[in-house]
Amino acid sequence: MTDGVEVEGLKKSYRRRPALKGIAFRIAPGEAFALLGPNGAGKTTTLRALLGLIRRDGGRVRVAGLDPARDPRGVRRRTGYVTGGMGLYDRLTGAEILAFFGRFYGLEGAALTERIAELDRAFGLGEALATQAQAMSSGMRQKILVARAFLHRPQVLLLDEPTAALDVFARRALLDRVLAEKAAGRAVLYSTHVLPEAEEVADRVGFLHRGRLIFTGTPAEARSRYRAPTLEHAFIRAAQEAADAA
Amino acid sequence: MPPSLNVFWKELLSFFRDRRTVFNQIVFPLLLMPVFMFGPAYLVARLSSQAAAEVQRVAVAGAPNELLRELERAGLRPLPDPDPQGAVREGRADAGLRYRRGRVEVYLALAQGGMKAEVLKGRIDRALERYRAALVARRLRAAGLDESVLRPFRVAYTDVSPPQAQGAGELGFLVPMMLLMFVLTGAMPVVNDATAGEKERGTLEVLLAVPASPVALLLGKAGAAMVAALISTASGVGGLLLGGWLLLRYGGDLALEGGGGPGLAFHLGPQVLAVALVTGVLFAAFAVGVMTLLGIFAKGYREAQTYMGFLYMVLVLPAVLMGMASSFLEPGPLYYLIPVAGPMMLLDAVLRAKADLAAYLLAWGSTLAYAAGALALAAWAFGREEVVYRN
Repeated sequence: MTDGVEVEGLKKSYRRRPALKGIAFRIAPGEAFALLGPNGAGKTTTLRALLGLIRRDGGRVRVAGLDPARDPRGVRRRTGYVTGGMGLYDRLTGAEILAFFGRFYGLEGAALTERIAELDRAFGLGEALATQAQAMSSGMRQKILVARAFLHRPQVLLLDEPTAALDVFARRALLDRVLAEKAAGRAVLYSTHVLPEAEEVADRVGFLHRGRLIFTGTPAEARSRYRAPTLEHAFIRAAQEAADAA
Repeated sequence: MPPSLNVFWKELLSFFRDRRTVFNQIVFPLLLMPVFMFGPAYLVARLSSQAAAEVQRVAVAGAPNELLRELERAGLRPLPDPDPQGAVREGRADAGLRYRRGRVEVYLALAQGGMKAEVLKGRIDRALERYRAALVARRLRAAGLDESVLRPFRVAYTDVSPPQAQGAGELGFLVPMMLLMFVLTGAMPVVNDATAGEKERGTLEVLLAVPASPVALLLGKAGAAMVAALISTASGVGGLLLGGWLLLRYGGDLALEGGGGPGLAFHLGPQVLAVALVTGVLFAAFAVGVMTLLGIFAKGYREAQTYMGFLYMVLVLPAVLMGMASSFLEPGPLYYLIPVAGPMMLLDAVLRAKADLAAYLLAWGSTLAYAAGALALAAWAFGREEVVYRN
């Protein structure tokens, strides 16, 4: 597998406090994997390690066939990243923000203009393109944030709590987009603590608890293994089992 | 477009769209400096001329008629009063004078009178000096001597300092300090927004996830901050020059030292401006490097402002003291190696036409080295996850 994500024995500590204790998972092209866990479980650390934003202490990582520790810029060229924050450059318009990020991927002139027009059609950016971020609604901001991650047609999508600040309409649009991107053959890592979302978009899920991946499998396998009516109940039981075992 | 240039344009675009910052950094200094320079000077001149036009009352006891005439010649109105001191205290007169057995006692409310009292004292001094000179002349003549015996020679002063130093005026020492402060205040909001501001908004992580080296991103930010600092500095210096021009054009005696005014005007020649430009660029690089390092280290905007405010004090206070001391001291070559103070002393030396090649090399070379060091440290910090993800 060269276009997806491969993680084996990933370890990371902050000042000797372990944040990831050797986690492993794979995501194939056209597959969505949901990394589930409460705040502080290690989800964001995992995504940062996949992008080479932080150094891993151990393990093997491949994103789109590349090691982010050795070729972080190569990984970032092939990866689209959405964080849970709503931060944008306040005094730039949506179009200027997209142009700013597009230029990092070699998009210039007519090609850049055409790509922004395509994203406008795909995401319904509309008036957000001509509005400065400081005057945008949260829905408009999120559309620009997500469209930014798609500018360079990435092979892999890393989404970190992408619906954290969304209203119901923007959230629905984002989930539909993730499903469409998965269908288009992209590998999607969807990090969230909103479990019903994961149940909807993910082919497989991973329960991350205190730096350990305590379960990986399909949502149905999770419900079956923990004899739970929903994924949320399954996660809670898995976390309780892990806590009891510790 | 190279990543650094891309970031550079983005930061500058954000800067120029922030109306409040643009007004504070560019418009305000251009308008405020002339007001600061011209306004107080104009006010002083006006009050001074008003005080000069006013005939002030002097309560007099025991004064000979010749002294009374000299007081009237000096624009004063002598009023006979047996208690001149009491007359001043009770407000019947502006000043009092008692002449008793070759001794003159003058009573003035100096601590309460301000400028008016100073003008009054000057007039009384002039009247007494004329009276004294007349008495001396009479006594010399009675002794068969000529007045010239008291003046064996005359003194004439000529300022032979170069026109550049003369043009700097009395307040020329302020120029280096102002330049330094304009650079610091110009760079601060841009650096803050581009570093701690990015952290606080949550845009830094997304920016770091683009396929560009952190050093390239940082250079773009630092470059934009330098340009903003230099624009702000140019605006401030422009305001100083405009204020100087206004004083020369409309300030009359106020502009020129020795012309009765406080000597507030100065004009900077092309050589001084060229040196100021090079020094300003190098100092801006140093200041931006240090501020960027602090901005990246800070968890948010407010923390960065605290660090930078402290930095402002740490950098500026010693520099201001050094700048003032340089009027009295002859700084040795090693003084030019002191960060911040070195470029200030160089500018001061250039204004006084005293700078030699060693001063240029040491001040510019050391500032360049400090700027490179500060930017290298900032670049190192920008690539460290312990610093970037400190919060």
